[in-house]
Amino acid sequence: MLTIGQTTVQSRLLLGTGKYPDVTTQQQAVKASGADILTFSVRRMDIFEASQPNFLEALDLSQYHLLPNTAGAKTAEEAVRLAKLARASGLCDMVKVEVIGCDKTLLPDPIETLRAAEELLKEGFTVLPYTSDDLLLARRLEELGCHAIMPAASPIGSGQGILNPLALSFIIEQMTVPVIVDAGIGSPTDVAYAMELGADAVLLNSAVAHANDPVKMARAMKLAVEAGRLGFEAGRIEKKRYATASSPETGMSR
Amino acid sequence: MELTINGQAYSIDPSITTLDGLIKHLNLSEKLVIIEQNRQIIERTAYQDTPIQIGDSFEIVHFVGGG
Repeated sequence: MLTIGQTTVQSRLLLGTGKYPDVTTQQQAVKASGADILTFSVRRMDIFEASQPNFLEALDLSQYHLLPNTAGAKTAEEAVRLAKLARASGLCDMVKVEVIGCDKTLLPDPIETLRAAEELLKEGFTVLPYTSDDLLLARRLEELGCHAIMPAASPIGSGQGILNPLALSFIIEQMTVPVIVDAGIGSPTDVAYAMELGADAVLLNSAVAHANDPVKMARAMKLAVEAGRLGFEAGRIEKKRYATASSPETGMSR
Repeated sequence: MELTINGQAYSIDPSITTLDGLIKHLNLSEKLVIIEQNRQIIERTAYQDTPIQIGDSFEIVHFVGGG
């Protein structure tokens, strides 16, 4: 069980809905992932192509919690506007605050992210900021009242996995709100690793959407989240320099 | 009547006087869209009572896939 603000869900995997090869694959991948929370974006509608099918129309919205992002925003003001537009749908009151400060790395602008989060909290949103893996920034965001912290494992869509497990674990240890590792995940290994570090959940998109078989990868990610979480709860053994025999060292028959 | 929709000039018959009428004209009644009129979000329930005027600027957005 994962609780973010007033929302409690079963799955610790949050899935993005972008960049799938087609709507059918996307639907099957969403199902295979077991995700309860789906992210999406707000964009201008092509009013001259309004008959095009929209992926949301194909989803049973009663089965999912919607987490709109503010992707595309470069300032706090733009992020706040996108969040308000999303909420006006009447379908969601959560928002993933994403304010990008660099087009090449897509790393978040910490100052604008903080400002946007502050404003959206005042407006009554459930706020989940996408941040770098900076502990002090995470603390500031939590102090503001953010409902979860979402540090990046590595740059968005890069598939580089967890580049700084130490920084992530500092955040995980110190936060009282859920920590959701977001961005940069490439494989089930990365997911299990994040969960073993003690992350409360993982949010990914490209790793599934761009896999050769997105539906199979969605299932792999579901299992990796579960395996990693169980491993964390079970408590792993210490690493030792030398071997320790698994079989009894006495009573050997000769 | 000249309007701006999503940054583009758009002309409609002056007999359309409300936002609800504009939505129907654009065949968007069944669509999940969110609308700003002159940078102000208009609640869905208010479409019928919202007049539209020459020169109004509309942003019509919807949800798309994203991460």
